[in-house]
Amino acid sequence: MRNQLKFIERFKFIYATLLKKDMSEEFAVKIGPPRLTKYEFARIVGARALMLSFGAPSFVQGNFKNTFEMAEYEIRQKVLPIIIRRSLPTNEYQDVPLRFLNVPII
Amino acid sequence: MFQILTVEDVIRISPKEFGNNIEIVAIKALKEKYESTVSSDYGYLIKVLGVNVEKIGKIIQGDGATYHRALFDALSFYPQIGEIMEGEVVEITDFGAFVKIGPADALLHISQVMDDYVSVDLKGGAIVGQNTKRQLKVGDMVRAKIIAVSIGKGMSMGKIGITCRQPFLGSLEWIKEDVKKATTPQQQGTK
Repeated sequence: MRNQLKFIERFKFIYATLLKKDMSEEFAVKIGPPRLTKYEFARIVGARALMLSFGAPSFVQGNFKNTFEMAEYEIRQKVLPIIIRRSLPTNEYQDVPLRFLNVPII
Repeated sequence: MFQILTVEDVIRISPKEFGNNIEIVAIKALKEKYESTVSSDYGYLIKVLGVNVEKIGKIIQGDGATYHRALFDALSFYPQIGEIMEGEVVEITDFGAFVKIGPADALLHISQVMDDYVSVDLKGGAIVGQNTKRQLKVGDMVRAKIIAVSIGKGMSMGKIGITCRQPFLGSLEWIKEDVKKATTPQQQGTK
């Protein structure tokens, strides 16, 4: 019972902190570059395109050739509620909401 | 014993469900996965009551779905040896009777029906005691004690053995008779 309570507390805490971070206007990227790396970009485009092709609702409107194009546009518009967990070999990590990262032209 | 458990699990939310209320989706998924299943950990899981889903999930490579940790309450029935239950007789066979206790059917073996020599009248659908003339029919309410529990792994529904052979167990009518017998002689003569 105590463990369950602990779990609920922990879970509420994590959620609250994540939400706070996601909602705040200022954000400092501590781990990694302040831009979306090409690896992150590829990972997100791939995952998001797969979601869209399985029928997920889109955040943008327009004519797109395929789901990849649509996913890329969503990333560039910074409308995706995706959070990247950047981790270090020391098991430290930072949760970086996508909208605080600059998207380079790849 | 009926109990409300709190269970932790990870649930998959399909991309089609994005944008819908996550708790409704989660409850639906959990119901499909857990309701009317049997496991040695939690017994017979009857109903998922409420769910607390982590709103932030994980996106796993190669799958468009998100995976959310969920903590949910569920009503379960775990039969325990020595427990007294009441139930209805649902079937009479040549080796005993099946009694519905909660979500499961328990076997009341012919040797455990009553403390008497018993015979089965399959045509009449009754188990009859030779000396006491007591009868057990389909539809009778029975008070019984659980004496054996084996909850199988996987798909098998588990087996519960019950007894009515001890005093003040059996059909509710017999218990009334037993109680009368036990109370009246005590007033007349004491040992």
